[in-house]
Amino acid sequence: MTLRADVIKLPANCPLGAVSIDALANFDLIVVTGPNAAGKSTLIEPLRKPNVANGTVSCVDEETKANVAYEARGVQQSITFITSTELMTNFRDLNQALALAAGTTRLLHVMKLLEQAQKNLSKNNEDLNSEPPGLNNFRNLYLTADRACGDLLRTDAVYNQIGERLAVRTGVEWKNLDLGAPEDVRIGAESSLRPQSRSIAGFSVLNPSLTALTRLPVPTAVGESGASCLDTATVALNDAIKHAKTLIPPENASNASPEIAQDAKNVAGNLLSESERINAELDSKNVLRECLIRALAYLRNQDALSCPTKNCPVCNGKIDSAELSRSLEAQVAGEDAEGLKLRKKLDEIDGMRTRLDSVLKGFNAAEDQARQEHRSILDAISGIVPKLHQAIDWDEVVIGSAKLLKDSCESWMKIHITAPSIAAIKDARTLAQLAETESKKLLSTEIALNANLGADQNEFRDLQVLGFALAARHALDTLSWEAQLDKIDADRRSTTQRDLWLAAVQAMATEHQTQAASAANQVVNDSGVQERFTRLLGLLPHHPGLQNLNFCGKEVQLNGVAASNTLSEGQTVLVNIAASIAVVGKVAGTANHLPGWIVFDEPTNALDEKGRNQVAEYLGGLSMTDVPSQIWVATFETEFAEKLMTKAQTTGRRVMHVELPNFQRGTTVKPQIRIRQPNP
Amino acid sequence: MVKLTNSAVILLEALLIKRGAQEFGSWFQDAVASALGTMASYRGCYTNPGAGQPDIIAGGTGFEVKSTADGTVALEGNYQAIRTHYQHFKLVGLRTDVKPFPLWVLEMPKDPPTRVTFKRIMDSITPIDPALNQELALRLSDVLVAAGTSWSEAKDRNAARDVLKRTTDVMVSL
Repeated sequence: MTLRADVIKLPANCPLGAVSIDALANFDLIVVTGPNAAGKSTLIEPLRKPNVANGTVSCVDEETKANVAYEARGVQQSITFITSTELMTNFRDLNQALALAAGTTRLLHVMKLLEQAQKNLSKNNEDLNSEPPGLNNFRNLYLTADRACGDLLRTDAVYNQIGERLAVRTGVEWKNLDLGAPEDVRIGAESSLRPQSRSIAGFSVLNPSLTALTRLPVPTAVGESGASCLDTATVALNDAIKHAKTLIPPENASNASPEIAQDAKNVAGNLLSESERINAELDSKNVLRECLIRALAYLRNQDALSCPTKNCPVCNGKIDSAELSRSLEAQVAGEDAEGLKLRKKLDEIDGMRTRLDSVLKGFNAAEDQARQEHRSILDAISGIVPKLHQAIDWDEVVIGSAKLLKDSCESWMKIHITAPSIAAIKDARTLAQLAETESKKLLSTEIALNANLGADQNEFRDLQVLGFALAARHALDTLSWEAQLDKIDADRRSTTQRDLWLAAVQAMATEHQTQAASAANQVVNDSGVQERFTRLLGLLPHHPGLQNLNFCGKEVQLNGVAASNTLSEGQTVLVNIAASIAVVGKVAGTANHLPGWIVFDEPTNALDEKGRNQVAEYLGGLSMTDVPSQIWVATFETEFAEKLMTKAQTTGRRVMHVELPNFQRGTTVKPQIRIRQPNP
Repeated sequence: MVKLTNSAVILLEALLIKRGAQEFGSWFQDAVASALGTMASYRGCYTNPGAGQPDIIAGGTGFEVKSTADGTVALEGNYQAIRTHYQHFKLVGLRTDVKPFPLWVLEMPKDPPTRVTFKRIMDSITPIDPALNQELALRLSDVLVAAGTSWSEAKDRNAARDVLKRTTDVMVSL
């Protein structure tokens, strides 16, 4: 049966209000005009999708003349309701027309529903096996923390054992920790066990004094000390003094001085006096000898003159010249033994003076060096002693060392404060060694205190990483995560069953699709469709080139090539109108396609005046033989509408013109109806 | 059917992803043996690599250990003959297709079936040993998490076994 629209009724709550247009079945062309937004599309919407909100269409069955309410089924409306957009594009929607013709549309629709159901069921499967929210974060945290544990055993017992060991060594109390405790509690408990580097109280204060003592300015070897040199110089000076004193007659020697240097100076003065005395004696001796030589020479000379001397020329006493000459010769002949003895002694005294002077200088130098050395040591020790006072908070062992060193220093000062000595040097060395010994003792005590620090720190690290891992594990384990085993198994069974059904339906769909493709080919190749298309193309005005187009279902081809890109916009619209009508002519009125109308909503959109005129001329020129259906056109182009209706009248169509006024919200629209009778 | 702890499941899951189903099965068998070894009743149990014997032997009890990705295991081989050699024969099963992985310990009948499907409620032919199931799940979880990633990320099965041994030795001594 074929239906013709007879009555359109819009509900009262639609934008146009309760509008009703009757007796439409008596007309072959219904043209709806009105300005933009007047409600033209609203008025014809029931032809596409009738329902309570859009409005209803009452039809007349052309065969039985019975009234039938129109119900749009599936995609029927897509074939008979053609928008301007569709007319401007290719023939996408004709596929559905072909499918509808083959009766597979509904099956395809069911297939889509099934596919969607399959996707939803698959999704449900995942949901059943899904993880609780946040588990992935806990998983990563746990695995990362666990890896840091290395070879450690990840148990609470091991964790608490480490804690107890550290607690014993650090002197802190440790209670077995609940790893589910808040993080700050755990970290706080662990931090109390952090191994710290330890030192002996007071050692750092005492240490500079110890260092200073170990570095007292004491020569390494006593023999190299100033005191030792002074000692040697003193012995040498004593020897020299002793020797010098043997050269001085006791009656000429001055009193010995308790100061050795002074004594040496006195002895040197005595030596000088003795030297001067001997020199004077030697001078007298020389004068006497000269006199004797001169007297002998006088006697010899007188003898030589043969006038021997009978009387002394000085005292005029009688003298025996010969005897006297012999006596004088004897006196001046040979060495002067006494003179020699005196000169030898004089040389000895002068040598001693030189030596004594030299030794004294050495002594003075040694004494200066020894005193300087002694002063340095004394200054150092006296500077350190005040720093060896014991502080109250010092460790006992430090206090002991300080006291020992202080006593030793004070003892040294008491004994050796007056003068340098080898004993002072030796005692100072002993003091330095004592300081070094005490320093080493304290240092080793402190090292012993920190002997396990490295091991403790390693164990503390173990405690921390283990604590973190165990806490992460605890957090992970407290998450609620239950296997939905029954549901999963049930879902799996239903999925298996569903898949079987889907496979069966898919097989059916595939078969129907094959049939649809075959039907589509039949429609496309249908002689009626082709003939109608060719004939409709033949009716196109002023487009002789379009006569060679072929309709191939999805597209129109020109000489075997898609013509869509070569057609102008106006040509595209005209060809699409022809193609639409050609297919509708094949399927209209079939069991799956009841409506016997075709609707063009704004067919001239985007066309120029020439194009609009061509569409008006073409569409209006289609006779009832060409298109045995109602033609509906909605347009805002009044000139186009007028030309269309005028043309249609000449081809024998009964025309109804429905004109809508400007739309006003809240006001029921009252369309103007004009009837135009055929005027062949 | 008993659930392992989340942390134990995470380790097993990581192992399965890293090693694949087949190797996972072998490692899991070692883990089950270690866990059984911490129980007084099965101390000294050992794994048996030979065919025609249970995976784990503990005196008069034989254990077959299976992990399955579809809930069903095929007991191929001469299980009927093996069964007669042991007073008790138990099937330990882990389903890896369900999260968290559930664990079963089933008491095998004198005439074992050729296929067993692990369900929440088992057939009367292969009943659950509830006490051992609970105990093993607990012990297995403890052993796995105590060994941690040192086990699941060990370089090979021997290294993993060493980790398990070290772990259970200490756990038993504590």
